[in-house]
Amino acid sequence: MDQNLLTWCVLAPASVAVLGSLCGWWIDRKLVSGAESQSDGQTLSRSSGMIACGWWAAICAGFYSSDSVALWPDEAWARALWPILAAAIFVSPHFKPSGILSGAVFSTNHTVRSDTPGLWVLVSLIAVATASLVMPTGEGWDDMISLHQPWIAAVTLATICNSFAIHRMSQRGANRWLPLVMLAGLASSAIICASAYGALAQACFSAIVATAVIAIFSAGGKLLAPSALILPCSLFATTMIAAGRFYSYAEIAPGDYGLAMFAPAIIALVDRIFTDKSPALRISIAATTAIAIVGYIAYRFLLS
Amino acid sequence: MNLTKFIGITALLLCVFSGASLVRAAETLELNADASKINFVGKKTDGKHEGGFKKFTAKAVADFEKPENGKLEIEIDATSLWSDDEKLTNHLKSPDFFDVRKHEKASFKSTALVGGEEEGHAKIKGVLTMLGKTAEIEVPCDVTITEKSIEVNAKFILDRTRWGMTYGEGKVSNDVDITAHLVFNR
Repeated sequence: MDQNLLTWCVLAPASVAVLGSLCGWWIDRKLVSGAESQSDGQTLSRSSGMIACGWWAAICAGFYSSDSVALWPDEAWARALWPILAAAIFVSPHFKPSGILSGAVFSTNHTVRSDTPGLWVLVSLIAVATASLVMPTGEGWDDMISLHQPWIAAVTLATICNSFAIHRMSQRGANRWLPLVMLAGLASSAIICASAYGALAQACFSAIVATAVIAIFSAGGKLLAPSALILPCSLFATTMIAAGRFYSYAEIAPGDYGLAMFAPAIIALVDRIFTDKSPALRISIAATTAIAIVGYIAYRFLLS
Repeated sequence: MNLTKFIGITALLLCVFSGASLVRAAETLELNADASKINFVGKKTDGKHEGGFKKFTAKAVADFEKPENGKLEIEIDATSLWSDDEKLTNHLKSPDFFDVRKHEKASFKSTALVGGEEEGHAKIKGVLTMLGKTAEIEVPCDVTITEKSIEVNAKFILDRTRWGMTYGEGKVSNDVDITAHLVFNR
């Protein structure tokens, strides 16, 4: 593997994500041990914020690998970093697993009701702002202006649907393996980006590495609120798919982009049917659905 | 005829004839786009790909008395890029390679023409602007002159990284083989 890719898209995001996860774990331990009160969800919010900001810092490495980190980057897609940071700081702490959590690590009973209508208004505003920000403009993009409105609508709708569906999934006892569903969404966006523009693919790759690290911590029961990644991950995946479309010259059916954009929501929808089944069966079905979607996307965008 | 009229007519004739002699020496040539080609071959660790540009224009001035005064300007429409693989064509148009949305044109402008040791051989020195960067290049070429046309055939290697095209270094060769076949009508 290329030295630059190995450093900035694998090692750096993995290290930063490990650091963020360890910080989140350290905060969560106080909750699990009962050393802190959980009634107001403050501690859980801090741990959620730590995980989300750690994930954001990790994906910055991928952006850095293609010189795309700037206050106002030349390339519109790279501007997504800032609204994603805003989402990680201000919204992610509200994506807490609500209801009764069970299991060795989730022995504390959190009854924090997180998804108020106000939260979804905030999610919608951030989604529409991010989508508007990443639409490429200027000389050379005139022929694509007509695509802006439909793609802003698609990114906004997909972000809301994916966030809502995955959040509901987390409340149905899928909290520990939630990042795996987000990985499916990121994999779809990475495939589309890889078919269009290397810098986009590098950013996606760093996001996959960072999410995989958090998925490992979460699966091991070390993190209480991997749900903190729901909005940043959904925003990132949908905006990268949109960017991939704008940088692509290939004739791809809109339905294929739609499938990639709504992949996490589809996985969550299928999971809903099996809510009362064992976690092992639910994970197997979710994995099969994810593999089917990602496989189809890979076939359409890379092989056909 | 008075003296003033005589001087006037003589001066006019001198101008006309000197002008006509210049036209014969320095001839502006018109590109035959259908017969001309600018192609490239890019190599990678596991193979190679051919490609080129479908649209380009060229202006040339040939001075048969003083060949070093000849000029050549080429403007390439980067969006007309093609290759032997559709997916590769799309990728070559992306910012990883030619970034055709940002840099729609590439151009070459000669700065000097040097005759070769053998007849029909020449070396064109000039500047190639691509991806917003300008770098000097030397292009060895064969020139065939007939009554109806002038053909310029060039085969040379460009190091793509000089224009900041660094994607895939190590896997995709930095050196790109260029072949140009330009036909100018006289």
